[in-house]
Amino acid sequence: MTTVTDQPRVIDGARLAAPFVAADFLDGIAFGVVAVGLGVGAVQATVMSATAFSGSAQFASLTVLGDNGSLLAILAAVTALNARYLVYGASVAGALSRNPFRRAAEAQMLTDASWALSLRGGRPNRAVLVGAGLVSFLTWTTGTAAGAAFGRVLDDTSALGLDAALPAFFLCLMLERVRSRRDAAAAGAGAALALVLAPFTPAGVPLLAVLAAAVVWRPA
Amino acid sequence: MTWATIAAVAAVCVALRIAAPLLLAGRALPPGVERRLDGTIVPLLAALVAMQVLTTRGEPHVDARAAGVAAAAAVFLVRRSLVLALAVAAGVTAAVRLL
Repeated sequence: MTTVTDQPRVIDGARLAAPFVAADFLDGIAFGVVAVGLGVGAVQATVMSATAFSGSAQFASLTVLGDNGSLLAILAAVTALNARYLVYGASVAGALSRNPFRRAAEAQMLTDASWALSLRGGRPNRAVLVGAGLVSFLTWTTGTAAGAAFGRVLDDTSALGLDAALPAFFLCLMLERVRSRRDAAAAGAGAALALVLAPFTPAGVPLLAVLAAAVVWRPA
Repeated sequence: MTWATIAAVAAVCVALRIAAPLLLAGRALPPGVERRLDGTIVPLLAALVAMQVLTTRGEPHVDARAAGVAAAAAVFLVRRSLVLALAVAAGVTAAVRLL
């Protein structure tokens, strides 16, 4: 493949993800602390972050576990929470490597953030996906290990305000894409639908409903 | 938590990520499908923001984060800098919590 100077590289993806390294790390710490508090081993918590690599799915697993829920209940929650990754995978598939093992490894770097960043240029970009995903993978996993090992040290991290960084990031990416009244209406409808459903449905369902509604509603 | 549970959760997460790329095997999506997927990006990002800022464990809940995120959006619309916007989000949220 020829290198074109204005084509993003993996390092560019990593740089794009850099602004929320601290937030990702703190989220990882939080997961490690909560997991160990529920009796999950430190090694188990870290392995979970390195394999499942999904904050929402992992926290949901802990919640169901804390309620003495069954494995089936855990897997149902995880599936509902992460079903949107099917769509993320489909939307970036055309940009991934040809080799199936590389494709799978690249797809494993999908997160809400790396997916959104990889689409910033209009068409999905593999290097940005991998770079941003790797940064998030490393901070999330090392954060979990740190939290599981000595999490009690950090008492109240909310004072730093970092929990606002991720939603702010999604909002900025959304603002970049809102170019017409129709886009704005779609944004408003998506937010409203999620907020209306949130109190009545299990976690994960609101986002799935928005996804389904957006696919059906948008005229092709 | 048992290792079997951890393996099962990981299997579901990995499968959901790699299913479409492996099944599509390099073929591009039909243009109609691609356009529909494109149309999901804005509403999905909006829903992510709304859920993260305006709810806590599924219940409506507004706190300092809302101010931080709103300030970040305003800064981003003027300066178009993600780094600056995220710094403002964290800074304003922390400041409001101090009040």
